[in-house]
Amino acid sequence: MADKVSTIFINGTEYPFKEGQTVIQVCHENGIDVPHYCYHPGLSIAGNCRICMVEVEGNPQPQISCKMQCAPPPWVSEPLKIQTESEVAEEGRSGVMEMLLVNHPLDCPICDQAGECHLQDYSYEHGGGKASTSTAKTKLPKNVPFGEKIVYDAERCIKCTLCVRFCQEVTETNELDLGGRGDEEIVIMTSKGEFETPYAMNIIDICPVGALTSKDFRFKSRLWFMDFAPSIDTSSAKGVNITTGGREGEFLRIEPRYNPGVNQWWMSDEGRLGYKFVNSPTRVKAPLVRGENGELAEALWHNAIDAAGTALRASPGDVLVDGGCTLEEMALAQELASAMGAKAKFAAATGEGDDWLITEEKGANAKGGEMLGLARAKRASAAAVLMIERDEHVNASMREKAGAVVVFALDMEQVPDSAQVVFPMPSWAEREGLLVNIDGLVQAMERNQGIGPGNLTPPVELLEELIGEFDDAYEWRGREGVIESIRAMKAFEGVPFPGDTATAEVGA
Amino acid sequence: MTATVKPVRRRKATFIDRLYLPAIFKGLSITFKRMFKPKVTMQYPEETWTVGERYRGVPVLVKDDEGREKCVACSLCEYVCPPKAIYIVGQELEEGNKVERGPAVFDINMLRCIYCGLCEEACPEEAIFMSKQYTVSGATREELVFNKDKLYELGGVRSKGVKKWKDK
Repeated sequence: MADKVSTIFINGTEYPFKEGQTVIQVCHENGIDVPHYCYHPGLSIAGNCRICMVEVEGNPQPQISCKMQCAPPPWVSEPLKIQTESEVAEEGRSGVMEMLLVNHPLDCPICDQAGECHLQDYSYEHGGGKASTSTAKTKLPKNVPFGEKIVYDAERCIKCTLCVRFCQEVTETNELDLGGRGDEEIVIMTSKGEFETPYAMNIIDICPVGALTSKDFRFKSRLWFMDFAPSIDTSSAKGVNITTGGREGEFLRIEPRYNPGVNQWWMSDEGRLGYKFVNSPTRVKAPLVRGENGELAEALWHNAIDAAGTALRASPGDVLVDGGCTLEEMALAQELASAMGAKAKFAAATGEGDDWLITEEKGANAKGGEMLGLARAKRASAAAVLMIERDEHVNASMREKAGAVVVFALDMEQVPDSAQVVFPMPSWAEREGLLVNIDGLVQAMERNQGIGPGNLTPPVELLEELIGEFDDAYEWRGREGVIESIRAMKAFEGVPFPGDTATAEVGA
Repeated sequence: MTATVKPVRRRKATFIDRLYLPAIFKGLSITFKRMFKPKVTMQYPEETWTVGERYRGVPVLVKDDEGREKCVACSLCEYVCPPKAIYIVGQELEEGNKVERGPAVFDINMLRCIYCGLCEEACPEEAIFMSKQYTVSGATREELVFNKDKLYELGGVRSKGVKKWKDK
């Protein structure tokens, strides 16, 4: 009996593999690009698109690498020898591309997927650029609504069944299935036109072509004009890793970002569509100071800081921050409160949750606030400083009853009548900082330059200025310095921070 | 190294030179002589050039012979435009329309346009053309940002070429 084979030759190089791995997995692990449509690392393997074909030495026909085990049959003692870029493999792929494009409309100028479409990419890389048939393309239903948020275009669909498998395996709600046959096979909704699952929009991301598009993002912008930045979803406390996308100040979309420890490839629809308040036309865009006539008027930053210092010295009090504020902001709020001889609190809403990515806790950094030792404000109470990002955390009654003189607000609607000085609060997509998710994992979010009015001084700097108004000996530390002092706290002893270890690093 | 300066001596103006009258009469005599000779220059703007077939004038948008906008707001011209003169916002067209997508806003800033013709070259729908219009004038900067209506007015109808959505 021969020894168990534990390696595989890919393009002449020997790679080890784990039991049960398929060829495409080993290729991707080692940075070898193998095209794929129907393969997704988070779903079962269907093997129906056939684009991932590779040449296996000793086999005259190319084989699909997504379903092919790395381990050879038990009676073979030699490792498999795979060629991913040989003539046989390329010929196979070019044939598959031609077949896929027989009925695929060439409406890339209209299609929203253009720019992130696998069919476009692989047609360019592996396609032959010509068709052997001249039959008319099949006419199928276009612009079919799949629930409230998704639009399905059957002509563009390549029937890879990724969306069907997502609904069967990940959410286990079975809303989608294939119907019809041959040319006229399309994806149909088995439920009555509505998705049960609150995770339905993930099928838009996994769709390799433009068959499933988001009603929300439809035709808003071309991908190549947008700015993207890695961030964290702040609609719940799970700390779902996301990529924010915006163009010329407008927040346009959110996509999930892979993080094996938190959300894998997925995110909830609520988080995905929870950015609308950032595009509010009544955003606070400059610091405001209440003048002698009782009206709030735009002021220069340093004048506003002086006015805030004066107002706070006249009536010091507690600092109430939004449960979505970053760890650095909360730590500085605490310092500001102690400089005024008061306490810092945070307010965070709670709501419905499930046992996956939607938590009952809605404050994205509520855990961080607790770890810093901030008390949780349950009902309206007096405060001198308010930091408001989302309406629901520091809610209307808290805002009005606090009697705060200095307010960090995102929207003019959030400013209470008592405010003497208003500072603009950048939304989470416009700030960089650390958030602690409900499981205690510290994750970093980055600023997206394409979102928001721009030119807003980060709240971290403003808070440091305000502390300086009370403490003449205060030394400016910057965000890095604040993080250093947070790490020195007892509650954060041994807690990995982003950049420390592989586990705390934001996903690829 | 310093530059070498070579002084040139000027001729001193004589009394007749300083009268200026001979020079004025000489000039006027040329003017009057030319008045009665045939004209050799083009009398612009009464007369205008007939430009060549491949002349690149103001970029314009065209409609097809059914009066539909050809542009689908794919933004390729916006992407390719070297001076970033084009600005497009797409929109979803009402249901029943054979094309899903069209431009909500299509602005060309004629103060920026360099008439390179790359927009025409990039357009997959044959919706934007370099016209033969070469006079662009306006009293304000805003006036010279041509909007969608103005561009269609200049472009008119073009029935030839790509008409993808005809039998759909």
